[in-house]
Amino acid sequence: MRRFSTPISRIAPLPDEARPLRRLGNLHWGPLVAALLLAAIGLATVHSASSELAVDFMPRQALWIALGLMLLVLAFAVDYHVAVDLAPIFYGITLLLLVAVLIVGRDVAGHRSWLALGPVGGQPSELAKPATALLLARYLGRVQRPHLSILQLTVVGVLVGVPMLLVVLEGDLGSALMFVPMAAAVVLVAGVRLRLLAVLLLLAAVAGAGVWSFGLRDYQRQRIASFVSPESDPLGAGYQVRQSKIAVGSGHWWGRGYGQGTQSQLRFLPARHTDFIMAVLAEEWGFAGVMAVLALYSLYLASCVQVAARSRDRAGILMVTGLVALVAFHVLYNTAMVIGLMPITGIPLPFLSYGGSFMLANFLITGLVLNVDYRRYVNR
Amino acid sequence: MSARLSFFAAVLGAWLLAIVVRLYGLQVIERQHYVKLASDQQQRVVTLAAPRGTIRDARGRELATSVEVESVAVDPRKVEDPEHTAAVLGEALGWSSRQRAELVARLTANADRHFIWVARKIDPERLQAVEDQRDTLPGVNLLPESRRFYPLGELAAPVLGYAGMDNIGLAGLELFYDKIIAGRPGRRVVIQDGTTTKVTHPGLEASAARAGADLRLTLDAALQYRVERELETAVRRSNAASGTVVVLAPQSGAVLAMASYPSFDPNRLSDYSRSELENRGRNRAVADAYEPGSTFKAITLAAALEQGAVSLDDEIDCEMGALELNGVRIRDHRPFGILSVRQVIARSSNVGAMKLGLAAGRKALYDTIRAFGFGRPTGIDLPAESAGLLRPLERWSALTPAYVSFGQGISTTALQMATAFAAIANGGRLLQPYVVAAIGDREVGPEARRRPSTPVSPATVRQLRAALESVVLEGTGTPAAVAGYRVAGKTGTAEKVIGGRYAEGHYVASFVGFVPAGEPQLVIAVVIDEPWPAYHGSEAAAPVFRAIAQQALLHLGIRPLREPHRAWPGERPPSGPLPDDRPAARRQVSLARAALPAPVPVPAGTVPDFTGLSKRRAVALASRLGLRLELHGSGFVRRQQPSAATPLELAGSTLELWLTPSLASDGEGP
Repeated sequence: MRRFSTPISRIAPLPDEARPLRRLGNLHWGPLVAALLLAAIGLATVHSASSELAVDFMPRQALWIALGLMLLVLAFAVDYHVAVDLAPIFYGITLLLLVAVLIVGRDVAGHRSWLALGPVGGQPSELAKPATALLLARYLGRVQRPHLSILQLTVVGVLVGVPMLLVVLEGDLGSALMFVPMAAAVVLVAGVRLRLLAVLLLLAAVAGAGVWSFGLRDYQRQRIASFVSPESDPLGAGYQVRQSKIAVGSGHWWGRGYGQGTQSQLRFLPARHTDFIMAVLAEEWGFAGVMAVLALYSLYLASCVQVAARSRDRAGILMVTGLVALVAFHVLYNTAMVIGLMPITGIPLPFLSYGGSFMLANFLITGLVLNVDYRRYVNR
Repeated sequence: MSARLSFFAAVLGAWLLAIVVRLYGLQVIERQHYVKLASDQQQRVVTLAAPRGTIRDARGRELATSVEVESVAVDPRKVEDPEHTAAVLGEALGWSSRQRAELVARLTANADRHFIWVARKIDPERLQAVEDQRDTLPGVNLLPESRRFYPLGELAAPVLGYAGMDNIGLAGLELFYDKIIAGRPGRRVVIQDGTTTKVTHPGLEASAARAGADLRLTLDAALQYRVERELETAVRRSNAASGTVVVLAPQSGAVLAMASYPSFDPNRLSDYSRSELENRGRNRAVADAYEPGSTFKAITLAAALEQGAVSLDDEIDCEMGALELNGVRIRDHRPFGILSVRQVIARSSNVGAMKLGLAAGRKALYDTIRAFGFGRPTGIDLPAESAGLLRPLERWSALTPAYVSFGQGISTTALQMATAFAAIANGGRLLQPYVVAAIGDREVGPEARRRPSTPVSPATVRQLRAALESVVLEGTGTPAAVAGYRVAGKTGTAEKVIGGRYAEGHYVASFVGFVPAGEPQLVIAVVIDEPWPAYHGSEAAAPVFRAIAQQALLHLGIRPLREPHRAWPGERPPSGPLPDDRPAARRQVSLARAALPAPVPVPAGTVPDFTGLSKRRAVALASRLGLRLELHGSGFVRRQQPSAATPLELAGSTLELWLTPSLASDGEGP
């Protein structure tokens, strides 16, 4: 176990650091290429999925990708330690936004998670997740002991719990749930005693039972119930699972062809340009298409894990771990949900699903990961 | 630390592997299952209803047709508030609170279904009320359906029958020709959308609906109408339970009219209880068998003549009204002594008829009865035809031929009697009667029917006609006489069998005959069930024959005899004025006839033409019609107000007549 330290004072940039683009050979291309290819596939699929909708979401999606790339460059250009230092501010801003959503937000699709600022709108919860990951990296990056103390775990619990609770209050249970694996991954990598982990899991189970009894709304309980037996309620929540499985199942090896997916073109598939875009892809491109996309995600995630592994400091490792955990669990949960392995909840697919805040968040994450990797030799 | 990262990566990898395995299962192994589920929900077979054929009368008037109406259906899954939906729909449809509660229960019980009917084929005003509310009621749909409509209402209803809610023929011609009228429904596979039940894409495979064929009947609605009115009047006037009339064209077997009373309105089926519809909906002419009584003596005579056992002028001892046979006394309605064979028929002696039957012999009698089509259906193209009852010869007792000779111990339908008399009328050909003249463009007249058989020889037929004509000329059938035409026929009065024995006071009165006797154009059978107190065939049925024959002859344009003929004994003035009705006047005006307005025959139910009648006859006729008279002058009627052929309902109750001493001195004549 190597020891890490957070820099105490800012280091003057070396001459070769002044113009980072000259050293692009040091850039890890894996996450970037994977993200861009996935975004391109997402564009095409969103176009196909919105052919029966009032608007084609592809141009807007392209705009979000472009904005996302700019954000990526920004997140990459400034040393990630600055971002880590500023984490409390980001965190504070996103908390304010989450509170604002609760007060002045707009109800979209059953939950209030949409904040409109003039013509621009977004879901602060998507930004709260990376901001929380940054804050955890900053807090746990300074910890010097091999195992986290109960106090430290409690602090982590509070830091994660506050934004998570706010997102739950919005009614966006799926989004809130994604805090958990992210925090778990960060804590795991930071070091924790197995006994303590067991106690935490027990507590989580008790808390889960409490949430089920008191914290969930009817439609949320129904969704989970219908996951257990989708056929019992073909038009309720089970309808979505059923339609999604039919779409995926009728894809076969090579799919029905682009724009030929009857499930999505005939409007059987719900939320097909957002949460269920994987089902559209599976129907139109078949097993081969899904495998290709999963391979790109694997490339992305493996590259990121590699970045974490070779990061030069503890904050970098933990930051990348938290961020990659976010992307990874979105991908895995969404795909599992679409094929009926997990209950339906509003979790989009990174880079593919239509959605502005989420697209920005994912490119921001990618930029930060590249940043950590790019600066792994600095200061050493 | 890298160990922990590896653990983290392994968790992700394991999860990914699980996803890949499941994807393989879904997309490759279970693919067929999901492809089928997809097509099951995306494709739907839609049945395209075929328009039901129209039924028209002989002159092309529509008797049964199909109209587009709307039905209310509900998709219970889309109903948000069953109570509200039922309340609003119930209001629009004019439902009772119990019906509304039933709908709530059905909506709740079928909450997971796509489709339930709420109200089929609703009236236009209800439709408007439902349409007004439809925007506020999710899940409520209006579907076009076709509904059978009978433009002439009760007219010929038991013959036409009716079709049910699903446009399947349930009775009458609608049932008998159902396969032909119904056509063949089309099938179409359509692509269905996930958000609505609307069809959004053109079909894949499709077969068009084939419209049902139209029927053209032999019935003439105008004649049918008059027959029905006469029958109704007769049944009411004679306090009878019911009645039926068949009018046949003897040369072809075509049914020109077929009436039952009481009848029903097929447009208001739901207004009748099941038993009521059973009674009113029955086509009595083919479905009801009765003991024919004396009308059957014509067949007995045919057997005797055919055997050469008798001739018309042979004399028969009628035993002064009673004869004992095998210890059973057989009685006549009044005692007769020696009668000629012709008189036996004309005066309807049971003893005489029995002797005729015995003279023919059991076997010959039975064979002749069979040959005239009794004991089996006539084969008319109508459902539920009764065969009547004719015991097989080997089960005939010693007394059977005696009883059968005067129409007891055997039962027939009105149509069987009419068909047998048609064979006598047309020279000896037993035809298959029929109601449908054409299916679509294809004529299905007599050529398309069973080949006629010949029950008896032409010589026998000639003698039969002469005997039957004397029934009307000088026997029990005189009330059937139609002025200006020769009429042949036979009365019948049969005691009804109730509970296995003959019941006094319950009779079936009938008259079967044809006209004109020389060249028969019409066979008319009239059966009146339980008339009282005037229960004889001569009283209850024969006048109906006359009234119908008069109008039918007029309607068909069959000209009366040109030559004057002798007045028949018992002749009564018919309601329709004809030249022969005014013998006194006729002699006087014969020369001036061309200048006088031609006597216009008027239909029943209208004011008759009184002109030319003597004052006494005019008063008698007016009182029979229940008209109050205001007379001006005396002698013969010259002018009347209201004029002839004004419908009685419109005429008011007072009739004004202007009379002059004699028509010859009428200044208006040349």
